[in-house]
Amino acid sequence: MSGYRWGNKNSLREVKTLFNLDEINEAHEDGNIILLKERVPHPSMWIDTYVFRNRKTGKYESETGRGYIQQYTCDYVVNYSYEDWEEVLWTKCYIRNVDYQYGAYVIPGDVKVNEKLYVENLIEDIYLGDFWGGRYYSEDGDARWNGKDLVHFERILPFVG
Amino acid sequence: MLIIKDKKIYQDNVLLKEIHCPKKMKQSDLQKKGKDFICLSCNKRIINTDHLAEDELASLLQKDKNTCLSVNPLNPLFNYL
Repeated sequence: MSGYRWGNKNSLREVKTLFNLDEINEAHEDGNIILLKERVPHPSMWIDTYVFRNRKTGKYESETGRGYIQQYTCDYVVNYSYEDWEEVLWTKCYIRNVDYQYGAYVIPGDVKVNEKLYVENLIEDIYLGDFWGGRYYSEDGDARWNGKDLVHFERILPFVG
Repeated sequence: MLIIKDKKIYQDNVLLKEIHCPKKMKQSDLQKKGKDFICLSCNKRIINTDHLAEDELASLLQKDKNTCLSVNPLNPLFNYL
Protein backbone atom coordinates (compact mmCIF):
# COMPACT_ATOMS: atom_id res chain seq x y z
CA MET A 1 0.00 0.00 0.00
CA SER A 2 1.87 3.01 -1.07
CA GLY A 3 2.06 6.44 -2.48
CA TYR A 4 3.19 6.87 -6.05
CA ARG A 5 5.45 9.80 -6.85
CA TRP A 6 5.57 11.03 -10.44
CA GLY A 7 8.15 13.79 -10.04
CA ASN A 8 8.27 17.01 -12.02
CA LYS A 9 9.30 15.29 -15.23
CA ASN A 10 8.02 18.09 -17.46
CA SER A 11 9.88 20.83 -15.52
CA LEU A 12 6.65 22.71 -14.82
CA ARG A 13 6.24 25.59 -12.42
CA GLU A 14 5.53 24.25 -8.96
CA VAL A 15 2.52 24.66 -6.73
CA LYS A 16 3.38 24.63 -3.03
CA THR A 17 1.07 23.07 -0.48
CA LEU A 18 0.59 24.64 2.92
CA PHE A 19 -1.31 23.50 6.00
CA ASN A 20 -0.56 26.33 8.39
CA LEU A 21 -2.87 29.37 8.31
CA ASP A 22 -0.09 31.85 9.10
CA GLU A 23 1.90 30.55 6.12
CA ILE A 24 -1.22 30.57 3.95
CA ASN A 25 -1.92 34.22 4.85
CA GLU A 26 1.70 35.11 4.13
CA ALA A 27 1.54 33.42 0.72
CA HIS A 28 -1.67 35.37 -0.03
CA GLU A 29 0.00 38.67 0.94
CA ASP A 30 2.86 37.81 -1.41
CA GLY A 31 0.43 37.90 -4.34
CA ASN A 32 -0.20 34.18 -4.82
CA ILE A 33 -3.59 32.64 -5.48
CA ILE A 34 -4.73 30.51 -2.56
CA LEU A 35 -6.82 27.44 -3.36
CA LEU A 36 -8.20 25.76 -0.24
CA LYS A 37 -8.99 22.05 -0.54
CA GLU A 38 -10.64 19.59 1.78
CA ARG A 39 -9.28 16.10 1.99
CA VAL A 40 -12.03 13.57 1.22
CA PRO A 41 -11.30 9.87 1.80
CA HIS A 42 -11.52 7.75 -1.35
CA PRO A 43 -13.65 4.58 -0.91
CA SER A 44 -11.08 2.40 -2.72
CA MET A 45 -8.36 3.39 -0.29
CA TRP A 46 -9.77 1.30 2.55
CA ILE A 47 -8.24 -2.15 2.87
CA ASP A 48 -9.12 -5.20 4.91
CA THR A 49 -6.75 -5.62 7.79
CA TYR A 50 -6.53 -8.63 10.06
CA VAL A 51 -4.71 -9.20 13.32
CA PHE A 52 -3.63 -12.80 13.82
CA ARG A 53 -2.36 -14.43 17.01
CA ASN A 54 0.00 -17.35 16.88
CA ARG A 55 -1.63 -20.30 18.62
CA LYS A 56 1.65 -21.52 20.15
CA THR A 57 3.59 -18.36 21.02
CA GLY A 58 0.74 -15.86 21.41
CA LYS A 59 2.56 -13.40 19.12
CA TYR A 60 0.36 -10.86 17.25
CA GLU A 61 0.89 -9.96 13.61
CA SER A 62 -1.15 -7.83 11.22
CA GLU A 63 -1.76 -8.46 7.51
CA THR A 64 -4.33 -7.92 4.76
CA GLY A 65 -5.23 -11.61 4.68
CA ARG A 66 -4.09 -15.10 5.47
CA GLY A 67 -2.24 -15.34 2.19
CA TYR A 68 -1.68 -13.84 -1.21
CA ILE A 69 -1.56 -14.81 -4.87
CA GLN A 70 2.04 -15.06 -6.02
CA GLN A 71 2.72 -12.89 -9.06
CA TYR A 72 4.27 -15.14 -11.69
CA THR A 73 2.98 -18.54 -10.65
CA CYS A 74 -0.51 -17.38 -9.55
CA ASP A 75 -0.25 -19.86 -6.68
CA TYR A 76 -2.03 -18.97 -3.46
CA VAL A 77 0.62 -18.74 -0.74
CA VAL A 78 -0.57 -19.07 2.84
CA ASN A 79 1.37 -17.06 5.42
CA TYR A 80 -1.08 -17.37 8.31
CA SER A 81 -2.56 -20.85 8.31
CA TYR A 82 -5.68 -21.71 10.37
CA GLU A 83 -3.64 -24.35 12.22
CA ASP A 84 -1.00 -21.89 13.42
CA TRP A 85 -2.75 -18.50 13.52
CA GLU A 86 -6.03 -17.44 15.09
CA GLU A 87 -7.82 -14.42 13.65
CA VAL A 88 -8.48 -12.05 16.55
CA LEU A 89 -9.51 -8.87 14.74
CA TRP A 90 -10.80 -7.83 11.35
CA THR A 91 -11.08 -4.18 10.47
CA LYS A 92 -10.45 -1.75 7.63
CA CYS A 93 -7.48 0.58 7.49
CA TYR A 94 -6.95 3.60 5.30
CA ILE A 95 -3.84 3.45 3.13
CA ARG A 96 -2.90 7.12 3.29
CA ASN A 97 -1.86 8.18 6.73
CA VAL A 98 -1.78 11.96 7.05
CA ASP A 99 -2.76 14.26 9.90
CA TYR A 100 -4.57 17.10 8.11
CA GLN A 101 -8.15 17.53 6.93
CA TYR A 102 -7.56 20.49 4.63
CA GLY A 103 -4.74 22.44 3.08
CA ALA A 104 -4.04 25.16 0.56
CA TYR A 105 -2.40 25.14 -2.81
CA VAL A 106 -0.31 28.20 -3.49
CA ILE A 107 -0.71 29.08 -7.16
CA PRO A 108 1.73 31.58 -8.66
CA GLY A 109 -0.09 34.92 -8.98
CA ASP A 110 0.82 35.28 -12.66
CA VAL A 111 -0.55 31.84 -13.63
CA LYS A 112 -2.25 31.69 -17.01
CA VAL A 113 -5.51 29.89 -17.71
CA ASN A 114 -4.78 26.35 -19.00
CA GLU A 115 -1.18 26.49 -17.77
CA LYS A 116 0.12 23.13 -16.62
CA LEU A 117 1.63 23.12 -13.15
CA TYR A 118 3.29 20.56 -10.94
CA VAL A 119 1.81 19.89 -7.48
CA GLU A 120 4.52 18.48 -5.24
CA ASN A 121 2.25 17.49 -2.37
CA LEU A 122 -1.36 16.61 -3.12
CA ILE A 123 -4.00 17.43 -0.53
CA GLU A 124 -6.68 15.28 -2.12
CA ASP A 125 -6.69 11.51 -1.95
CA ILE A 126 -6.28 10.49 -5.59
CA TYR A 127 -6.53 6.75 -6.03
CA LEU A 128 -4.53 5.32 -8.92
CA GLY A 129 -5.34 1.63 -8.93
CA ASP A 130 -3.89 -1.62 -7.74
CA PHE A 131 -1.22 -4.07 -8.72
CA TRP A 132 -0.99 -7.54 -7.20
CA GLY A 133 -2.79 -6.61 -4.03
CA GLY A 134 -0.91 -3.35 -3.58
CA ARG A 135 -3.02 -0.21 -3.76
CA TYR A 136 -1.58 3.07 -4.90
CA TYR A 137 -2.45 6.75 -4.59
CA SER A 138 -0.79 9.81 -6.04
CA GLU A 139 1.49 11.83 -3.79
CA ASP A 140 2.16 14.45 -6.44
CA GLY A 141 1.24 15.15 -10.05
CA ASP A 142 0.66 17.54 -12.91
CA ALA A 143 -2.46 19.66 -13.01
CA ARG A 144 -4.03 22.28 -15.24
CA TRP A 145 -5.19 25.66 -13.93
CA ASN A 146 -8.63 26.37 -15.43
CA GLY A 147 -8.90 29.84 -13.94
CA LYS A 148 -10.73 28.69 -10.82
CA ASP A 149 -9.40 25.29 -9.90
CA LEU A 150 -6.59 22.80 -10.46
CA VAL A 151 -7.61 19.89 -12.65
CA HIS A 152 -5.42 16.93 -11.81
CA PHE A 153 -4.26 14.63 -14.59
CA GLU A 154 -5.05 11.01 -13.93
CA ARG A 155 -2.54 8.98 -15.85
CA ILE A 156 -2.67 5.49 -14.43
CA LEU A 157 -4.84 3.05 -16.29
CA PRO A 158 -3.96 -0.38 -17.59
CA PHE A 159 -3.59 0.15 -21.30
CA VAL A 160 -3.84 -2.22 -24.20
CA GLY A 161 -2.20 -2.40 -27.59
CA MET B 1 14.19 -1.73 -16.11
CA LEU B 2 11.77 -1.12 -18.95
CA ILE B 3 10.86 2.47 -19.63
CA ILE B 4 7.46 3.57 -20.89
CA LYS B 5 7.38 6.99 -22.45
CA ASP B 6 4.58 8.28 -24.67
CA LYS B 7 3.16 4.74 -24.74
CA LYS B 8 6.40 3.32 -26.12
CA ILE B 9 8.33 0.61 -24.29
CA TYR B 10 12.13 0.90 -24.25
CA GLN B 11 14.85 -1.33 -22.88
CA ASP B 12 18.35 0.19 -22.69
CA ASN B 13 17.17 3.02 -24.99
CA VAL B 14 16.05 0.52 -27.62
CA LEU B 15 12.43 0.79 -28.69
CA LEU B 16 10.72 -2.55 -28.11
CA LYS B 17 7.16 -1.64 -28.91
CA GLU B 18 4.66 1.14 -29.31
CA ILE B 19 1.51 0.40 -27.38
CA HIS B 20 -1.28 1.29 -29.72
CA CYS B 21 -4.66 -0.25 -30.33
CA PRO B 22 -6.44 0.95 -33.49
CA LYS B 23 -9.74 -0.11 -31.94
CA LYS B 24 -8.96 1.71 -28.68
CA MET B 25 -9.76 -1.33 -26.58
CA LYS B 26 -9.50 -1.07 -22.81
CA GLN B 27 -8.68 -3.83 -20.37
CA SER B 28 -12.33 -3.82 -19.29
CA ASP B 29 -13.29 -4.70 -22.90
CA LEU B 30 -11.20 -7.88 -22.85
CA GLN B 31 -12.17 -11.38 -21.84
CA LYS B 32 -9.91 -13.07 -19.32
CA LYS B 33 -8.43 -16.34 -20.48
CA GLY B 34 -6.05 -17.97 -18.04
CA LYS B 35 -3.38 -15.40 -17.17
CA ASP B 36 -3.97 -13.45 -20.38
CA PHE B 37 -6.89 -11.89 -22.22
CA ILE B 38 -8.74 -12.36 -25.49
CA CYS B 39 -9.65 -9.30 -27.52
CA LEU B 40 -13.34 -9.59 -28.34
CA SER B 41 -12.88 -7.34 -31.37
CA CYS B 42 -9.89 -9.04 -33.08
CA ASN B 43 -10.07 -12.41 -31.33
CA LYS B 44 -6.33 -12.05 -30.66
CA ARG B 45 -4.54 -13.08 -27.50
CA ILE B 46 -3.48 -10.11 -25.34
CA ILE B 47 -0.48 -10.90 -23.17
CA ASN B 48 -0.94 -9.77 -19.59
CA THR B 49 2.44 -8.29 -18.65
CA ASP B 50 1.58 -8.58 -14.93
CA HIS B 51 2.79 -12.16 -15.21
CA LEU B 52 6.04 -11.58 -17.09
CA ALA B 53 9.59 -10.87 -16.01
CA GLU B 54 11.53 -8.21 -17.90
CA ASP B 55 13.58 -10.66 -19.97
CA GLU B 56 10.50 -12.67 -20.91
CA LEU B 57 8.71 -9.58 -22.14
CA ALA B 58 11.75 -8.22 -24.00
CA SER B 59 12.32 -11.56 -25.69
CA LEU B 60 8.65 -11.76 -26.68
CA LEU B 61 8.72 -8.30 -28.25
CA GLN B 62 12.03 -8.87 -30.01
CA LYS B 63 10.41 -11.83 -31.74
CA ASP B 64 7.23 -9.98 -32.62
CA LYS B 65 6.67 -6.27 -32.08
CA ASN B 66 3.03 -6.68 -33.00
CA THR B 67 2.30 -8.78 -29.94
CA CYS B 68 -0.64 -7.18 -28.16
CA LEU B 69 -0.08 -6.37 -24.51
CA SER B 70 -1.99 -5.31 -21.46
CA VAL B 71 0.24 -3.02 -19.38
CA ASN B 72 -0.37 -1.82 -15.86
CA PRO B 73 1.89 1.20 -15.32
CA LEU B 74 1.90 0.44 -11.57
CA ASN B 75 3.87 -2.72 -12.33
CA PRO B 76 7.37 -2.08 -10.89
CA LEU B 77 8.76 -3.73 -14.02
CA PHE B 78 8.15 -0.41 -15.76
CA ASN B 79 9.46 3.05 -15.15
CA TYR B 80 6.57 5.12 -16.42
CA LEU B 81 7.73 8.59 -17.58
